[in-house]
Amino acid sequence: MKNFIDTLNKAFESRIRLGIMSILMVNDQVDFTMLKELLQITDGNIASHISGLEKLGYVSVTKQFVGKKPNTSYAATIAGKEAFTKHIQALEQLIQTKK
Amino acid sequence: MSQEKEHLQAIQDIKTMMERSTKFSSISGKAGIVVGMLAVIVFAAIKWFDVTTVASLFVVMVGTLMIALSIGLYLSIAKAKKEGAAIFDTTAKRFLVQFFIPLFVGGILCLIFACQTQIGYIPAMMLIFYGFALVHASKFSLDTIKNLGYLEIVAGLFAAAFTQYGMWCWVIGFGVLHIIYGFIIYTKYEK
Repeated sequence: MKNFIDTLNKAFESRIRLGIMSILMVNDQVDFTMLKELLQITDGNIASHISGLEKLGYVSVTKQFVGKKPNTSYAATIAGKEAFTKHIQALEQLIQTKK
Repeated sequence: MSQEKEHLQAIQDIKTMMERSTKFSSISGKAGIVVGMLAVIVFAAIKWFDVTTVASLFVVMVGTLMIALSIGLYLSIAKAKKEGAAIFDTTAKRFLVQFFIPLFVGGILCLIFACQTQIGYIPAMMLIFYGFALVHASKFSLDTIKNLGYLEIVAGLFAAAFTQYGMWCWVIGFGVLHIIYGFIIYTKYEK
């Protein structure tokens, strides 16, 4: 059982990060406003969690201009997707073995 | 024990976030009921005034479809605006594109049939392509509309097999089924 707990990824412990990664797993590109409305948290909060995930190489950030407005969009990297899949598998195994 | 609950909660959170960010959940049940009643009224009017000419039947059917789509869109958009604009934009766009591709093809096919005065097959074509549109777009919306889609296709096949009862299938498909499913969606998601 200890092995399973070790496979849980510390990077996804917070609920916000879990939420961000879930959204990015099923959407190719997601912009800041959509993340904010889905997660219903403050700008600063999202930004800090995103930059945490970015530093780990799990999320890539694209900044561009849509017309005259700056638009930041996020995507999960391949490494991010792999790590998150492993995290979900570990969670499922933990629940199953305890039953 | 509490840790186990935490893990379970995490899994559930992941599932809801994935669904909420991809599915357009603002289909309005009320719109389904209104549209269904409209179809029944139009059908009754056709029978009452004994409309039989090809051109006038076609105009009435296309007109009904346009009004029905407008009601559906209007009520769904109204429902969606309450849920937040950015989620609505992305998920609705995806849903609408998937929904209108089969519907557009079906519409053109109906037009071709009408030009060749094969009016008998038009109710069948309308039902079948509308059904396909629902099944196809259900991936990006409520699962319930997939079942409605299957039933519309079945109604359409009956309409094609027994063209003399085409209009009856049409009123069952667009009228009765919409009222039933509108009610199901309303009680399941809006109460």
